[in-house]
Amino acid sequence: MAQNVRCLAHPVLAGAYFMFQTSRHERLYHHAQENARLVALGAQVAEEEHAAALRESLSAMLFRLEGTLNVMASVIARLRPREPDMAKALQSALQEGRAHLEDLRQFISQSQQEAISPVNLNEVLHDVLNVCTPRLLASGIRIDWQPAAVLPSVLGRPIELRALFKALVDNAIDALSARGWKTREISLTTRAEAGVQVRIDDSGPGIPAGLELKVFEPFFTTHARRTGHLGTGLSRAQQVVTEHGGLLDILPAPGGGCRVLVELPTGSGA
Amino acid sequence: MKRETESADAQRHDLHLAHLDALYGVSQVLSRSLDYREIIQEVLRILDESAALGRGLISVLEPDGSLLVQSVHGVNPARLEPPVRYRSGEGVLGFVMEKNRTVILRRVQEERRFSNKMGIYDPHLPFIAAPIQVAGSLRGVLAVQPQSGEDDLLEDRARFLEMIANLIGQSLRLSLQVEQEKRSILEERDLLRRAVRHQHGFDSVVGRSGAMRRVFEQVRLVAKWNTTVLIRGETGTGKELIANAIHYNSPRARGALVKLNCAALPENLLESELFGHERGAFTGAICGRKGRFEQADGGTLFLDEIGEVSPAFQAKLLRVLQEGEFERVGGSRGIKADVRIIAATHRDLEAAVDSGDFREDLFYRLNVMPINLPPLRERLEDIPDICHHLLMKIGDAQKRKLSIADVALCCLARYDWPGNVRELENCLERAAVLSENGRIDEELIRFPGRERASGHAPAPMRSPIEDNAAHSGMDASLERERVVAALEQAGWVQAKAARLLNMTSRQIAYRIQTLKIERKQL
Repeated sequence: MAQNVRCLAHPVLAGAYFMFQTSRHERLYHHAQENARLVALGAQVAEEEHAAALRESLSAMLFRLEGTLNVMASVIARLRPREPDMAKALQSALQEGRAHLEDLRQFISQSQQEAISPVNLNEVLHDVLNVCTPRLLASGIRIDWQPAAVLPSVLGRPIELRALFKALVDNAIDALSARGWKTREISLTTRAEAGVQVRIDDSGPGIPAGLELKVFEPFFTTHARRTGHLGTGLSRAQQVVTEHGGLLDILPAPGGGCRVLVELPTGSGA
Repeated sequence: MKRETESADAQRHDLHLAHLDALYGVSQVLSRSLDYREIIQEVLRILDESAALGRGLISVLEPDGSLLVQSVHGVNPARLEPPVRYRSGEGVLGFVMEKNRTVILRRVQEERRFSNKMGIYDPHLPFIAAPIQVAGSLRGVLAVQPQSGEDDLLEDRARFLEMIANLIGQSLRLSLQVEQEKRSILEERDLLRRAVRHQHGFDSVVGRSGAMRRVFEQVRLVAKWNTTVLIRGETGTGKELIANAIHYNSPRARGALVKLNCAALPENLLESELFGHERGAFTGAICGRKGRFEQADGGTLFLDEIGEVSPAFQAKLLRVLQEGEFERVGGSRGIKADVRIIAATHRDLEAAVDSGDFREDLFYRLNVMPINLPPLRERLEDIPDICHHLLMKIGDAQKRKLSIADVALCCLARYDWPGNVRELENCLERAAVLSENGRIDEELIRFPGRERASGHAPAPMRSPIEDNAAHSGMDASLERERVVAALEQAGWVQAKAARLLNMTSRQIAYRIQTLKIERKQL
C-alpha cells in the first residue's frame, strides 16, 4: 500500500497506475459478464435439453401407438362385413383414439416453432464446449478443437442444432467417463466439405459390436435407467439432422473409439 | 586341441539344427496370416522356444522417423504404455537404425550406449539387433538377447537373426501395403456412399401438395424406426423413391438397400433369391449363395409387388417377419439377419385378403405403418414442380437445357395420368426428344390412346393397358408404350405381360426386339 501511495506521488506513474487499474477492472467486469452469460447459456441449454427429450419421448410414444392403431384399423376393416355392429363400435373408439393422438401431435409440433436462419456452426460448437466445460474438467478430458478458419453458414434452427451437438458431445463424454478408462480425448473438427462437416472423435471404447443400429432407437441407452438417461439423444439427433437435410454417420474412429460425422448442407437445403 | 574344435563343431552343428527348426516354424507363421502384429508375436515366441533367443523385440519405423517398439516377447503389453520410442542414434536400437547394419554385443553391460529403457535385459548376457529392411531401406529393428553367451557362436546367431529379419521385412511390406489399400478403398466407399445418400434424400421426391407433405412427414418419422413399412400407391407413383428416401435417411443408410421385385421371378427362384441356397440344394446349385435377406443384413430390404406372391411364399415371409430367422433353401441352419423391411404394392390388399389370395396375418404384419402415395391426378398442383424436376433430369441426360411453356403445363394438368409420374416422365422424355430448341410447347405434348383429355375424366384405378387396348391403329411409339406398360405391370415377366396384351410369348418377345425395349434391371 505504501508502495502504491509513493507511486501516486509521481504524475506519470500515477497515470500508468490508473490505466492499469481500469484495464484490470474492465477485464474483471468482462470476465464477470462472460461468466454470467455462460451460466445463463448453461441454464437455457439444460432447459431446452429437457424439453427436447420430453418431446422426443412423446413423439416416440405417439409413433408406437400409431402402429397399434393401424393394426386395429385393418382388423376392423376385416371385421365389418361379418360383425357390422361390433366393427362400428370399434371404429368410433379408434377414431376417438386417433383424435387424441392428433391433439398430442399438434401440441408437440406447436412447441417447436423455431425460425430458420443462417447459423455458423463454429459458434454453435463454441457455445456447446463452453457449456460442457465443467463436465469435461471433472472427467479430465482433453479437448482438441479445430474449427475451420472459414466456415460457410448453414440454414437451420440454431437452438435445435445446439441441442444436437450438445447431445453428441455429451455422448462422447459419457463414453470416456467409464471408470479406469485411461486415454480421455475428444477431437472436434469442422470443415467446409460437402456443405459443412462436423467431426466428433472420442478415444473411448467405441460402440459394442451388434449395437451400431440399436443406439439410434428411441429409449435405447447403454446406461442404467436410474442415471436419468432417457435414451432419446441419438434418435433425436438423427431426426434433427434429417430435418436439416443432412447426414449423420457413426463410424469407428481411427484410433479406436467412436467417430460421429454430421454433414449439413449450406444454402437453401434446409 | 582337436577335441576342442570337435566339440565346438558339434555345438555349432546343434545350433544350426535349432536354427533350422526355428526357421521352419517362422516360415509356417509367415504363410499363415497377413496381420503383421499377430505374425511378429508368433515369430518372437518361436525364436525364444526353438532358438533360445529370448526377450525378442520388434520395433517399426514410424512416419515421424522414430522407432516404435511394437512387441516384446515375454513382456506384458501394458509395460509398453506409454509407447516406447527410439530416435535415430539413441541407444543401440537407434544406432542400428542410423547405420542400417547389425550390431552384436558380447555383454550388455560393456556397452555404454545401451539404454535399457524398459529395464528388461540381463546385463550379463549378449545382445543382437538386426535391421528389418524392405527394398534396401530400413523399416524396423529386430533385437534378441541370446540366453547363453559362453560359446563363440554369436556371429552365427547374428546371421540367423538377419535371415529372420529379412523374412519379416517381406511380410511387413505386404501387410502395410494391404492395410494402406484397404484404407483407401474404405475411404472411397464412404465417399461414394455419402454421394448416393445425397442423391436419394428427399430432394428426389418432389411435391408441395398437402397429401405429399403428409407423406414426407411420415417418411421422416418412419425412417428412424425399424418398423416394417408398407408403401401403397398406383403404378408410377414413386414407391421406390420413397423406399430410397426412407433407407437413406435412416441410421441404416450405412448398410445396403437391397431391392427385389417379387413379381419378377417365378416362385421357386424367388425363394432361393430371397433366402439363398446351400450347395447342392437343387440342380445347378454348385455352391452356396447368400440370399437378398442376408445381403441386406444391417440394412433395408425393399420388396416390391408384395401382393403378387403365392400363399405358400407368404407363409415363409411371415415367419421371417415374426422371428427374424430363416433357412437357406436346402439348409437346416437357422440364419438371423437384422433387416428392416419395406414392402410395396399397387394392389388392393384388403380385397386380396377377402378373396383369400393374401394371408390375413401377413397383411396385419405389413400394414403397421402404411404410407399411401396419392395418384398424380389427386395432386395436379404438383405437376409444374415435378415437370421442372424431371426436365432437369432429362436435360442432364441429353446434355442441354430444357424448358416448358406454361400452356403446355396447363395441358398436362388437364390429363388424368393413369400411369402417374412415370407416365409423365415418359411423356416429357418423348416431348424433349421431339423438341428442337429444348423448349416444350403444347403441340409436343401427346397422350397415349386419346387426343388431349378434356376435363378431369374420373378414371380411378383404370390401368393404362385397358385404355390403350381400346385404341387401335397406333404408331410404333404408342405400341412401344403399350408393351412397356404391360411389362411394367407384369413386373417385367414377359409371359405375364403377353397374357395382359392377349399375345403369345413369341409375339411379345418379337416386339421387345423390334421396338428395342431394354429389359429393366432388377
